[in-house]
Amino acid sequence: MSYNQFGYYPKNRGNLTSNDATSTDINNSSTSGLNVQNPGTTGNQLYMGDLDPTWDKNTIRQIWTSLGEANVNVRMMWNNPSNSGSRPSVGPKNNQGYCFIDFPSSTHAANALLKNGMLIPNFPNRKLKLNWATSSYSNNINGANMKSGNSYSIFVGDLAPNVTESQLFELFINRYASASHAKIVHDQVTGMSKGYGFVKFTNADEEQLALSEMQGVFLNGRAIKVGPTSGQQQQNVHVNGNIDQGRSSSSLNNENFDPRFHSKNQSLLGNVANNMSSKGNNVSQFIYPVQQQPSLNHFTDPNNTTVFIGGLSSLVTEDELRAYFQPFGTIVYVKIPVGKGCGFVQYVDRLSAEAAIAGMQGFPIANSRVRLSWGRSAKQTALLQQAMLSNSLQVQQQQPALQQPSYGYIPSSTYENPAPPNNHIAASMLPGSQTLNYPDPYSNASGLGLNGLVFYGNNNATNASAASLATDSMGPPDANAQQVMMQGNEAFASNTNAMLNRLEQGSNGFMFA
Amino acid sequence: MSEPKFTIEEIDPRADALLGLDSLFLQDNTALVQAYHGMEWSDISSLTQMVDTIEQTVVKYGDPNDSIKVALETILWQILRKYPLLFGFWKRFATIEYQLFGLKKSIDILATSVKWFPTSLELWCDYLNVLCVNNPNERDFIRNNFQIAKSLIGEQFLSHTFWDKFIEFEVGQENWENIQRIYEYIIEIPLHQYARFFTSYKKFLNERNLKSTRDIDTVLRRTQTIVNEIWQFESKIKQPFFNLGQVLNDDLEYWLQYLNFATDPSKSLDKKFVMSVFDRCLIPYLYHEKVWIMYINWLNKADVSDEMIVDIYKRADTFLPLDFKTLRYDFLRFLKRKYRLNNVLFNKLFNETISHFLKLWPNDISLMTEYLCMWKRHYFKNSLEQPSKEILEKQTSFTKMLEMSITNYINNQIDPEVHLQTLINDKNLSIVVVDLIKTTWLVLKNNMQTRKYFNLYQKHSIIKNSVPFWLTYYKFEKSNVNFTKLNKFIKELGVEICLPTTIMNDILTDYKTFYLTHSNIVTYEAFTIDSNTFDPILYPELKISNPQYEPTVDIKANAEWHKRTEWKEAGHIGIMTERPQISNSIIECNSRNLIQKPIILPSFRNLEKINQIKINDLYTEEFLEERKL
Repeated sequence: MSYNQFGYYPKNRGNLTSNDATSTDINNSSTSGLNVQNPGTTGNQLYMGDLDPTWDKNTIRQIWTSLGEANVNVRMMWNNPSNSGSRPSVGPKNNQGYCFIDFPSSTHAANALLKNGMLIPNFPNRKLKLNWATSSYSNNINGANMKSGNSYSIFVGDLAPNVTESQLFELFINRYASASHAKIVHDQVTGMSKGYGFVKFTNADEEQLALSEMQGVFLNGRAIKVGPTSGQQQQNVHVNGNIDQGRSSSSLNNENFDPRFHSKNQSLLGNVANNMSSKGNNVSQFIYPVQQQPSLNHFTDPNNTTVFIGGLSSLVTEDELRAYFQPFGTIVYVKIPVGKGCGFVQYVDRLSAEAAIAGMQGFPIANSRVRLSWGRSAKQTALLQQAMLSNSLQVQQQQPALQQPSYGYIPSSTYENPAPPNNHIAASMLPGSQTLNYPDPYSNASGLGLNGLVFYGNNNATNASAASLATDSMGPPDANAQQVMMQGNEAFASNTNAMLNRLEQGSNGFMFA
Repeated sequence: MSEPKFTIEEIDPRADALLGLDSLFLQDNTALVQAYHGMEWSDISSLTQMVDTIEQTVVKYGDPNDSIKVALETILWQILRKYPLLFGFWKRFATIEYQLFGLKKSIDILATSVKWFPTSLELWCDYLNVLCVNNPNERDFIRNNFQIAKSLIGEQFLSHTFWDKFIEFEVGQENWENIQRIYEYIIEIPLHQYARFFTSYKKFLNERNLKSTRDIDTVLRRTQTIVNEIWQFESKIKQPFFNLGQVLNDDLEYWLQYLNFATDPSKSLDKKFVMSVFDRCLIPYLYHEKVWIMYINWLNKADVSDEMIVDIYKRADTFLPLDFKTLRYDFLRFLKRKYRLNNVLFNKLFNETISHFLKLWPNDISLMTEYLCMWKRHYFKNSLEQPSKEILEKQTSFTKMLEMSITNYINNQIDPEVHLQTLINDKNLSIVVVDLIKTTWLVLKNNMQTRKYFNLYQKHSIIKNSVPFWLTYYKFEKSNVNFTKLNKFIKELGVEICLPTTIMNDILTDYKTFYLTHSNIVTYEAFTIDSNTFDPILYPELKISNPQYEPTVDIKANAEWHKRTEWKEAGHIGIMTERPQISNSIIECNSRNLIQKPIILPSFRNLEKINQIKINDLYTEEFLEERKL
């Protein structure tokens, strides 16, 4: 599914091999060497981005020759400083996706800049991406604002783990010409991105602009955070950054808001890890956007089994309400507080509650359509109401602390069924365990229905259809199961009887109207 | 017994007794106001504090103005009306009334107290004492009250104070004949102080030179045995009075043992005595249905008059909390059982009771079923000897009456003269309709009319969601094996006809079986060819536990798949997210183009919405914050 499985995807121009240079001190870092403040080349230097990673100096030169600028000096940016020099590297040598080009004069450079956005000859689908290199731009246009020799850094946090320094730099250079340097902080041991970095500007105004404009901009599917950095503040930022990193990586590992993407993200992560340990340059640039972990409330608590029923007619009694919600699973209690126009149904297990909300949302009960949402148990509600009575603080703050699972959000067990270890009667007879079948709308026949039967003798396939379950219990592998099947038959018989009784007595009015 | 002229009962138990009082008075008596408004009805100490405050107010003002007096009276009356068994409060009420209004009204309060709490030894003693002291001339009135008290509390184990008073009264009147009669009566009762009465009786006989008709010593021995036997129970009872809150479980245990002993037929104890034990037990255990049921069971066996049993049923009904249904339903069964003995009386009682119960439990529709049975039995009685024509006429008139009642109810023109019409409510209307339909269908055998009724009433919103109505309809069409109607019915379930999921599942399961056993391949194929959307075998299966199931034939829904709730919720019910989608599909990734060039990076739609989670938290909005829509 994921893009990185296709080998011809743009190779990472990233920094994952730059373990030796992952110092957290931005000022001493020489990783990217984006020092464009070359005093010799003022006003005639252009930045060129969007390079194919395999291009080198000669390729760029050829491009410019074909564009009519034969006399250019190309400075490539290699992704590893150790590779960037004359030393031959092992394996494919990749650039960082951009380079600087010195033109004979600023006129040449300005002319060349006009070609920005043009298709590159001989390379279909590639366009020229050009801009003034910072120093020349600043010197020529914003020279007055420039504090020579000074640079202004901002902190960038909440980066996706696969954001490379060049991506970060491109993001900023596209908007702020004075962006001069980007640095991502990596963990020294694992080489993983810590999820934050710094971007240097040569222009203080642009730094301030970036601080206000770049907040929440998406980069590789994640909203980045920007903040000022200096002195003591920078120290704090480091701490924050670490926290951010912890959160982001945990979110990647187990938050997975949507369980369907679980495996995908897992595999991406696996790739990241693999690549890091082996080649370090084979990481997909693409990752499916990651969602923030929702705060734990009654909506997101995976252990919540209480369904709130709003818009309930005052005519409905608890018994009737039970009859509406019973087929979805074993009910702990049904409660209709007096005069509130609502009700509560608590199930034994989560799946029943989910099935009930999905199945009954908007269903008319006594001529009034009910609206369902997650509620809280009677006890928690009492606590909440007490808290709300005693002071006027916000509900959210007053909510009794739910048991916070240390492992973050639990994906619904629909996808990870805790299978009973064995075909053990005692285990399968445990109260509530047989209701695992309920969410499958087709497995239970009559409310209380067949669920008793279908569970016995079957220990894993909770989502399997009634038919397959029945077949399973028909051919039990051992003597134990034989016994189980007989019990199942009794349950079936009594359930059928109960159903027929309901049909018979119901028409005589011996039930709810 | 002449009714006391003034009764506190005439005071209307207003919702707020302090309403309309002088604001200055209320300001000066904040303790009273606070105690009243903060009164905790289930907490005896709160009630006691209330009475304390009233007493303090009375002491403070001495003779307050009338509206204040009435307010204070009303508060006390409100408490005692709810808990008439709090005899201490009656006594204090009498004292307060004495201070406020004087002797006359105080006596009236005591008279009222024994009316509301007739089995209280203390209140009777107080009342009789006050009567003897203050109205010594009204001899017959006092004697009459002594007689009433005798029948109510005279058998109680500790009633010697009462008997002493009675004898003292008759001695004062020098009515020796009566005294002997009293003594003759006492010596058979197992009293705590039985020995003392024997001694004084013997002394009395000697002094007056009278002879007992019986051998007193034999009586003494028998009484002694009984007293010794019941002493083992009486001695253990710690709390013989009524109180709020938790009752003593040990005590209940002793009482039950005591009652088992007293009702043991082999002991052949005096009925009056057994009843007094029950009466006393029901003072602390007034709210225990179990004891009441024991009492009634014993009465049924003990061959007492039906009036007495009805009386106990009614008393139980007055006191027992509303959610105790067993005894009340038992009352209905009792009345039905006794109906043959006295048609008019028990039909009247039955109707009254049904009316009363329907006020208590308007949602209980089985009451209507019971009522219709009795109604038919009483007014539309048939017997085998009657000619068929008469029987048919009776049954027809029955359906006419039913139909008229239904029409009147629906048109909101209830005739208060017709008892049935006063009983119908939204909940049980469908029962009446079903009864009408059933009589028409099964008794009068008029299928045309039956179908007309079905068509007529299903349009009505009250009937539309009624389980009995639709189950009857389902049965009716099943009996006609009308698959067209049945299929339509099954299809409309959950869409037009919204029944409880349990019932719908039952019907769907049953229909599948019914179809398979009663249809044939030709019919089946005819149906499935005619309309692709409905398959009578598969469809019910798919609708089970999925009440809002609709076959998806919509192509448009397919195109907008990403707007469906299922997709947005992604298995997390109730939490919707707008997930980003890749807008440039890689569907062409295997095409020739892509061999030469790498495919472009994915671009997203809705990316900015990724962290916008939409939840509809009705629980917080509608329940916790009670924001009314």
